[in-house]
Amino acid sequence: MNPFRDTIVSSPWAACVDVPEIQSDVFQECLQGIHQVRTSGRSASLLIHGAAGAGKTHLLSRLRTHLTLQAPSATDRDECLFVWVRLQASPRMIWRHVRRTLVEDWFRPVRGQRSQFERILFHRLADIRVATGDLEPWYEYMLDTDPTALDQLLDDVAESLFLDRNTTIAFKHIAFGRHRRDLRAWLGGDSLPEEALARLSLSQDEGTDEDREHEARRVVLMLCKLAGDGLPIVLSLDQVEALQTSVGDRDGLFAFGQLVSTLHDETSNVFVIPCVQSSFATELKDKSRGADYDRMTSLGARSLATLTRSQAEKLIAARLSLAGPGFMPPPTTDALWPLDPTDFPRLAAVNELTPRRLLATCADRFEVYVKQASSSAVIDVPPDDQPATDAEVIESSADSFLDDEWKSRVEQALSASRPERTEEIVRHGLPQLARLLSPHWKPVRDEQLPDIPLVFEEPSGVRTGVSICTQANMNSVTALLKRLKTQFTPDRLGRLIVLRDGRVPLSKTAKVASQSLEQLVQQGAVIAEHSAEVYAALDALRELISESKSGDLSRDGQTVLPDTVEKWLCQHLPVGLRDFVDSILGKSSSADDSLPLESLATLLSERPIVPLAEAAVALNSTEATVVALIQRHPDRARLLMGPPAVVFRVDGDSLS
Amino acid sequence: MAKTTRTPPPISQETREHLLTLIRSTTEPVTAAQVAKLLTGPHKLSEARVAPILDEFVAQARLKPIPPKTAKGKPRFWDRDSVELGRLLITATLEKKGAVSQSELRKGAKSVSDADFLAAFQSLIESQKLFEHPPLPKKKSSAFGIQPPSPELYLRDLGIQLSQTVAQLVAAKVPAEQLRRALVQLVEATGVSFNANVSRAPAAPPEPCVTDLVALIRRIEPGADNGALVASRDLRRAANLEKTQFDRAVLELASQGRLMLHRHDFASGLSEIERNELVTDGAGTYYVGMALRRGVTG
Repeated sequence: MNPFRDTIVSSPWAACVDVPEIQSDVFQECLQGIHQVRTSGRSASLLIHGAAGAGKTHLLSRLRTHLTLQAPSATDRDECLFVWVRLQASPRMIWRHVRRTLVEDWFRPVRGQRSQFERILFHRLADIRVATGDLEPWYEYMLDTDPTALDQLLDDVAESLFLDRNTTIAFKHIAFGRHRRDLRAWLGGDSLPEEALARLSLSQDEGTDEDREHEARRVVLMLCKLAGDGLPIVLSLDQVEALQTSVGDRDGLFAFGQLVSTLHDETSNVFVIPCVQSSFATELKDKSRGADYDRMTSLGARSLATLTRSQAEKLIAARLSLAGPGFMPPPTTDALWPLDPTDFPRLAAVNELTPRRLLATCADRFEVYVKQASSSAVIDVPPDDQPATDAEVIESSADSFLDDEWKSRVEQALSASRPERTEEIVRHGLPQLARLLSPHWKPVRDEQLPDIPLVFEEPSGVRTGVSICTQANMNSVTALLKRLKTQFTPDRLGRLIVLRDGRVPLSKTAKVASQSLEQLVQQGAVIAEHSAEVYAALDALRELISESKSGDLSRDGQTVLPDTVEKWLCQHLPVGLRDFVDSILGKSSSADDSLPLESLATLLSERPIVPLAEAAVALNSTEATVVALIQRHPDRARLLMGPPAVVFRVDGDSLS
Repeated sequence: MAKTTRTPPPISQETREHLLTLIRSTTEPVTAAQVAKLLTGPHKLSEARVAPILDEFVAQARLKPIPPKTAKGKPRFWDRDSVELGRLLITATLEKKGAVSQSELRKGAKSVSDADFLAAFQSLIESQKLFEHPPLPKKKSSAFGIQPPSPELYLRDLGIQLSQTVAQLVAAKVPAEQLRRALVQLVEATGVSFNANVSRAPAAPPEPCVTDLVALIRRIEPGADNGALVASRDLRRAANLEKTQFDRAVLELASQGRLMLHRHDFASGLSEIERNELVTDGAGTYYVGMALRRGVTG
């Protein structure tokens, strides 16, 4: 095992090797920020910048670990709640995304401890309970012996906090451990069938897209209020870059700014930590509203430091300790081993050494050492003095890495796939997929179509709208379909696609919904139902792109760039996803009738072998379109993966 | 007794140069008679003696002939051409009357030809000394002024209409947040940005500082000593150094351990202009920003 190979902390909830000296100053600032929120009773925000691989998520992981309770909940200790939101979401669903993540994190079991929701419960009960002694035994006692009195206490809590009916009931379900799965779904904003709502005694009025977003915002603020001033919430907002679905997109940053401002101004116990890549810092500042940026940085902005020699030595030592008892290091006194003596001065020449870059070089050196130690053969150390550029190195070796990443992410997405997440996946993923495959379709917004969140416009001005109808609650489905009937008018939309998820069929009793669906079809709408596999692939696609944008996709310590990922996706996209886009934007999208086979054939008759990028330019098309054309006509042309990818002619002559 | 004729003394070179200097100092073209009046003392000359000198200067291209003000007027002379005169007359009209139509401007500059007027008009527009004011509601033609139009006049009706619509939406219980967002988006969709740079622009640009970039970093970013990032772009603009000189200075400070550099992993995705604002080592590595290493003094 190479202890240096793992250079990515994928989530603060995962355990990781930590060297407290690294980024200790920013960590201390975070703790001070929490303290300030607790003592001042006002929310605040500290913006953190860091180069790719500087350790943003690692820092959050340390913070999360530090805040995790090591003992039963008690009000005499300064406790905190923690939420980590990766902003892989559509800007217009940002509050729903935060709501879902917050609820999932607060239900998340952590090392045998109580969930964060239960900690809120204890703190709230501690405020008003009449008994003395340890809190948790008292709660257990009340639960077993006097549930009526406990229920009354919960009513008192709700009354003191002015909680609405739904939140009060949900809070009681948490206290009594009832309907945990449905409760979690309801709090997270999932659409629930009427029977489930009846069991929970909760209502759900989904309304229009705007209504649902507004409701999510209200619930998040209500949950923050429920936590109370004695229990500050650390709300870390990671991968802000992922909110931008295209270069220069302002919607994402606007929504982000509004989110931070609302949390900052309308709560009293939230410590917001937005984390962005340094390379995104200028764009964030330029494109945010001044008032929003002021709130994002109400406690200032901090950047993650690069490594000093002493920190590098400690990081190497910590990683080497993971190598296992069977590993025998060479007899050396150099604390920077396995680095070569020239490595560190080179890596740290201009003070830009990040942990990821250090670990990547260590990993290479370690591997060479292990190979040498296990065989008598002399192995040449790969020259590492000055690779051409990082980008070139990555380009040349990213294909197989991305291939593996893709497979594993699709698999993960499929295993975690739930119809409740389909809307989020489509609304964040489809614009990115369409941009790759059909750049001539531009996403536009039409405020007159509140239930059609995705609208794409062709250069000719023809518009296609996409509505996602995957709710489990049939009343909500019926209401949505009714509204769609009035919104789908020829003057606003050329086509309407109603996306359904096969896992959420219309119930037999939902007759009005069925009729509405039929009427929509008569009006010209297309009802498209796709499999879980397609949505899982779309989920994997948006995740890969988001992580590359945020500098969180790394191969052997080198950041894999967004354009590398997008090029790879164009060339390797599964047919299912192409069909998905075709079903929405028409066959002309990825298949692109504007690029006839004959144009390609003419080009190949002149140049039998041509790089894909040049072919796209020569044909005045996109690489994705050329690839799609080749896939449909393998008898005429083929693609050889590179880099650089090349197109070559297939005919009798070339085959011979 | 025969009448003797006195030959006038020759005109000295000094008087000629004085005459030229006088004409150059006038704010508008002058006739020979006006020049004669301006000459005093040892340089005093009659109009008849001034006229041939002026013609001589025109022949030498040291002065320009300017057409008479009126049909019956006399030729004029200036060191500038008719187009410059046109610019002068247009500006004078605007200063006197405020923003006026193009025909009003033409009236004020009727002593220059149509071609010279148009050339003067265009050059003022191009040099942003003259600004077109689009027609206001209920007006047919544009006006022209020495300042860009005042937006308030144009937005007044829209503001009244917007206030009415907002009042209706508030009455219809549209949430304030939603309303605010829609309004901001509406305005930003027009290209007017509410971005941070506008509201946070410093009152005065930092003075160029050739040697002390660290001090400049502290001035740009008050949180610099706590590790706040300063964008290469912002420091470059404030330092006002030549590009390679600035890049070298930053890299030098970094190698001394006074700065930490933040690499841009995707500089190839930036435009040429954006990339030029980053710091580069010249070998394909770009740095988007920097922070002071804690403990840096001086």
